[in-house]
Amino acid sequence: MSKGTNDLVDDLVAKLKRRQLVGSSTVAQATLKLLIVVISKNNWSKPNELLNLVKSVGQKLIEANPTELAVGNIVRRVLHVIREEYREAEAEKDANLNEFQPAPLTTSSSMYNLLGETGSASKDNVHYPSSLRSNIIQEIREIKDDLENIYDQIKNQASLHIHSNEIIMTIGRSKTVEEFLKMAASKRKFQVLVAESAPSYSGQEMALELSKAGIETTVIPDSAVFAVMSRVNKVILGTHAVLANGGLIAISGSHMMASAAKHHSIPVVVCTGLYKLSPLYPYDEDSFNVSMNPDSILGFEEGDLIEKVTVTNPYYDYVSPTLVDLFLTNQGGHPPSYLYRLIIENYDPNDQTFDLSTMAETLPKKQRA
Amino acid sequence: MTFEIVAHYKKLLLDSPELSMPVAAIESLVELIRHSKATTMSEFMLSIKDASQQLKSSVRNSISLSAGCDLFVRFVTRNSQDVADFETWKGTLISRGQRFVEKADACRYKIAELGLPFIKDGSVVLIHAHSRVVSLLLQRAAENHKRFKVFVTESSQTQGGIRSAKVLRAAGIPTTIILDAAVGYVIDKVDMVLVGAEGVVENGGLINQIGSYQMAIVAKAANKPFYAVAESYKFVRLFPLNQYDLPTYNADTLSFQELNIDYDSKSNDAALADSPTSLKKASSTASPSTATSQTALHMKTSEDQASQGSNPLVDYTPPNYITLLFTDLGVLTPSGVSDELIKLYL
Amino acid sequence: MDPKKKTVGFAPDNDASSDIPSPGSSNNSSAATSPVSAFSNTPDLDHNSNSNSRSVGSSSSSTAPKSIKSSGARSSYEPMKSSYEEQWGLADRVSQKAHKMASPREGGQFPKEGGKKEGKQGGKTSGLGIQASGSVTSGGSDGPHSAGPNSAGSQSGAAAAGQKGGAQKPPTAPSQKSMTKAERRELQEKQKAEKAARLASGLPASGKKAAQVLAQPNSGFSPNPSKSLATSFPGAEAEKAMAGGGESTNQTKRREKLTKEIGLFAHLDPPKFANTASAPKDLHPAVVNVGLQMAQFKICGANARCVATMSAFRKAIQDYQTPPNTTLSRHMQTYLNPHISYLVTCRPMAVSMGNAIRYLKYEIGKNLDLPDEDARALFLEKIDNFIRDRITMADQVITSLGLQKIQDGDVILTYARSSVVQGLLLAAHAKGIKFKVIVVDSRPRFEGKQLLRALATAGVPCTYVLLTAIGHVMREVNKVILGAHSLLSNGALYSRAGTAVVAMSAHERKIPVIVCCETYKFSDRVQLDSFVQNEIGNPDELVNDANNNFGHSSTRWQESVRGGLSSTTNGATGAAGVLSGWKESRDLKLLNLLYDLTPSEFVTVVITEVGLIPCTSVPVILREFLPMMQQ
Repeated sequence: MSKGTNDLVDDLVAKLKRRQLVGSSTVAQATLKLLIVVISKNNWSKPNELLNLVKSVGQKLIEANPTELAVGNIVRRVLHVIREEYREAEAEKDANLNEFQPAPLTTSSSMYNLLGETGSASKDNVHYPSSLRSNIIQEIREIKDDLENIYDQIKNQASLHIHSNEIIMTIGRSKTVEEFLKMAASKRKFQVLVAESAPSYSGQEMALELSKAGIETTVIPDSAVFAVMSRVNKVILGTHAVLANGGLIAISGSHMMASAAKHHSIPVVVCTGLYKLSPLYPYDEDSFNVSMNPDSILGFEEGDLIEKVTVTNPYYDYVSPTLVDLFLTNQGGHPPSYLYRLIIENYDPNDQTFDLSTMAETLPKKQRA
Repeated sequence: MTFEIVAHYKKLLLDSPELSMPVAAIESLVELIRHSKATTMSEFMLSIKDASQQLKSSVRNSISLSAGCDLFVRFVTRNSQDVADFETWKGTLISRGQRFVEKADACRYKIAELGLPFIKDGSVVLIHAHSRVVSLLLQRAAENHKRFKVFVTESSQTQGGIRSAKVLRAAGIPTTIILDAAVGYVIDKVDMVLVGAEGVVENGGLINQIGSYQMAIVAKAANKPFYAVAESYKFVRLFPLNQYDLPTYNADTLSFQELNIDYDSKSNDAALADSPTSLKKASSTASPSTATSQTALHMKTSEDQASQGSNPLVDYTPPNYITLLFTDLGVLTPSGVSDELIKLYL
Repeated sequence: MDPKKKTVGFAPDNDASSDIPSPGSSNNSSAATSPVSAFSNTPDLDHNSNSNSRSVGSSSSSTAPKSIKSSGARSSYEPMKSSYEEQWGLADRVSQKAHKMASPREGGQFPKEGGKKEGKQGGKTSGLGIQASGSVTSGGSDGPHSAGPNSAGSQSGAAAAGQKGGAQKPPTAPSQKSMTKAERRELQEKQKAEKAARLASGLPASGKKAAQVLAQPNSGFSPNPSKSLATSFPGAEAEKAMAGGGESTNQTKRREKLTKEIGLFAHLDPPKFANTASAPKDLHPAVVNVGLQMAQFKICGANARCVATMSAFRKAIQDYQTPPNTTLSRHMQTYLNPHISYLVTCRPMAVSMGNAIRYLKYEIGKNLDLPDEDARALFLEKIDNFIRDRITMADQVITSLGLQKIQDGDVILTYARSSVVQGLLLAAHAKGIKFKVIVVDSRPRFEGKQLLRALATAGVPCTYVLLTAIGHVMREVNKVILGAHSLLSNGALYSRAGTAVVAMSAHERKIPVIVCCETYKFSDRVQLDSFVQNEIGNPDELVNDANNNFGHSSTRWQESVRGGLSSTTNGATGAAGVLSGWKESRDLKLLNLLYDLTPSEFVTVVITEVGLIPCTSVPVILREFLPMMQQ
């Protein structure tokens, strides 16, 4: 790897480690930007070379902050694009050679492969067209454009999902949800209840923003979620990440809100860009959680108390897929049961587990005050 | 046809107990191709279909067997379109089939690898009866130094639970055998339920040894994850609507016993009514308790035998009870299974 | 603007006081006005819960927040859309109905009649015969007894009572003519005494005027907040009430937005801000003190409030001087009524208080013929016994029963703070049981910290989390123990807001939920959701600012989470709370709901002093057990 790109990688790794860069969107964009540089500035000729290059950079970034799943998602997405490009190039060649090839279903993870031809021997000797490099970069740039327009693509569906005089509940602050609701407000009149999500109280900021946009907004403490749920028409949640089974890693309090909604049979809609969809499974509900500084729960003012008690301050909540009714992504609306398909389309199965061990092991444990 | 496919299949299973039914079926069909003297395409296809039909009807519980047969037949038909040379084509089929049999074992290892992270340290797993792939997954987890405990249902019909317990204990996993009826009792102590599968049907539902369905219901009620572990060659093109829509179901299954059995029990009653007198007679000579217990035992076994034939061996678990399926194609939701089957058979 | 109109809003019961003014009667708890307001409001309720704003004259659309401030002082109780004249002067159906309802109140002003009539009417209208459905003041306190501490309950309750009472008699009010001589004389005397009292306090001599003056928000003892608070809740309302005409829908809409009231909770009383000035002058200082402490949430929790109230009443009875021409027991209720309504103006009454006061009234009503000193001794003893038997002893029994359910190795989760639960956990620790406690807490009061402190000091291993982390911590829990504000007859648990979430999360994981509740907190009321009856707290408590952050500045959090880089993007949210400017923002509202309702399906068992019962057995206990206790 060239010196310049190495520095860039280290820089991003440092930022991730120090949590200077947080939030799926920022992290995803930074990762993509870096990968474009890495791919264009480095020398590679064979598919494996490039894949390994991207993988090694990805591995570093993921290890820097394993809870920012968007990093891994973007890396996998790029790997997938690279593989696709190579596959296309190979297919062209094969077509030229006109070999005997029963090429029915190309999805690599088909049952058919059990009996069919598998793992065409690594064609290291194949010469790839020179346009490949620019093609790959072109594809990745498309991902980047997608990423930048994600809010537009999601929010444009708003009027399809919100009717007049609805009461909508949400928790914490999510840029996606905020844009979504603001868009809806330009066409419909409705009310929003925002739970604060203590101790970050990001719901307050959300409420402020929404009220500035002219949406009738009410801040409720987290404790009132169940009480008012019965009059709510829809719960709209943002999320930090969507796992392969449709489970969410979302701001703490999301679980209780989703279960309260379930109890009252109120639909839960999750607004998310596809870059938050991760091919990983929630092996352990704590796997992707972060424990924050307990100071915001029990301040130093309570010095004597702090010594005697344990304070737990998880930043995220795991919401199981059974509590979610709909995902609104930049590709439209999907039920949780369809997510596996989106994963197959966006990621290569060979990449799903390339960093698994590191993901599972470096779990932050509860902090003791 | 000189080749006896059913006999070959049974011999295969007998020789290697670790072999699963669909794999054995495919192996038998490959063997059939080897022995095939068919000269025309249609004759050949006919013989294969015929043989798979023979196989299916040869066993009482044909679900996983038919999954294997169907997969192979499908593969043969799909490839039959562009055949240049009949003999070389047969050769490819045989080699592919053999490759499949070799890979079948690898399937299980891949599943074990995929399922591994789901087994948490310190967790308690409930499993049902005996399933090779479940056992392998748990063994692999133990090898990876995960500490967990296992409850296994006895599965009174096949005693599979006892077999599982032996295997797992040998791998150093603390295992407790519970009654089939004790699933509800232990469920609150359990972190996840893990079952194997005879077949995975079109909607992602599960056909497995009897008792799986009730375990799934109990797990659902207790909000515990219910995972199924199945090799993808067990995916089968069936869409059961309920328990009574399975191919294994017939009019005899759990039918209420008719009059002739009634007579039997009456005669037993009569024997019982007689017993006091016979007891009195016997008391002087032999121990009365043995006499009565013997009659009781006799009654029990005779009734058991009468009902045994009509008791179902498998049940169907609808997909909404299944959290995830661990397959060699990856960890799938039930709708992912459906996707795979549609792709294969469309 | 007509001064009368102003009064309609905030001190609407000057209807009664115009006839028989007394500081007690014009003690303008909005609950007291409820029969009227409930009625005049009914037509509106039919189309829209928000329609109240539509039915009122609207202001010009240019109304800016500033003008609210200026007008905010004259807050009104929204449903009182019609003016005084409309309600009483016009002989339309509504006003007739209002008369019907008003009639027993007027009658109730007379101490003697009150005593008698209450026996008759009350016996039919409410469960316990001693309730005064008559007097204005008891109208205020009546509701909470029969229907709970909230205005919604007292509205409907009192309205129903009033209607029934009226229907039993000819619709015309029993005027002074229909009174006995003794009653008239007594009334006159009372009026005289009150006049003197008013003069002493610098108010107009005429009862009517006095009532009006008192009703002025900033004079006398209106429950209206000081001016600074005026914009918060009732402020926007006042603006509506003031506005004359111009009912264009546009303007109405605009005003709706300016309302700081939350549509779904419009029927509940706005948060109350009692101060010493709001206390009628002839109240016993002990009661005034308790009322203030409750208003400031210094006395908090169902048990504490009940004990405090009963102790204050005990002092009041001790110091009570029987006025001439009556006996202690006959006059006692009349004497206590203004105290009770004062407490309601401070904070909606707790179910526990309502039940205790009802018990006291029952005892008073039962012993009308006792000589003064015997009666006083009896009442004092009854109060002592009530506190001892129904609270202190009950808690001891609950603790001993609860101890059987706590085992070594348990991880017990509890929410906020309940005195019974705290007692139980400390007792379990003292008994040597090794267990761990997870205290879950929530905004805005962080009551759990008190419990945490008590447990930690005693050496119980504790974990402290906020409610949002409930899904996270519930995994390791094997028992949930909760306190109760009240248990309703449909088995629902009415408790601190957030309890429902905790119980739900436990139920989801099949963790047993144990509720500790004394039987005196059982209520004969039923409720299906947390809306119909509830209490709204001061919304300013939700603002994170220097005074109110409970040591949790959100900025500190943000810095720790976001780090230096991205904090610039969020720099707009300054050091003061994010919501500090919420009153100026047109579309921003805050809801500080104090209670919620937990469905009975989430509760495994209720531990009471009569044993372990399923929570659906509350009506059984009320039916079978309580009458026995009262004997």
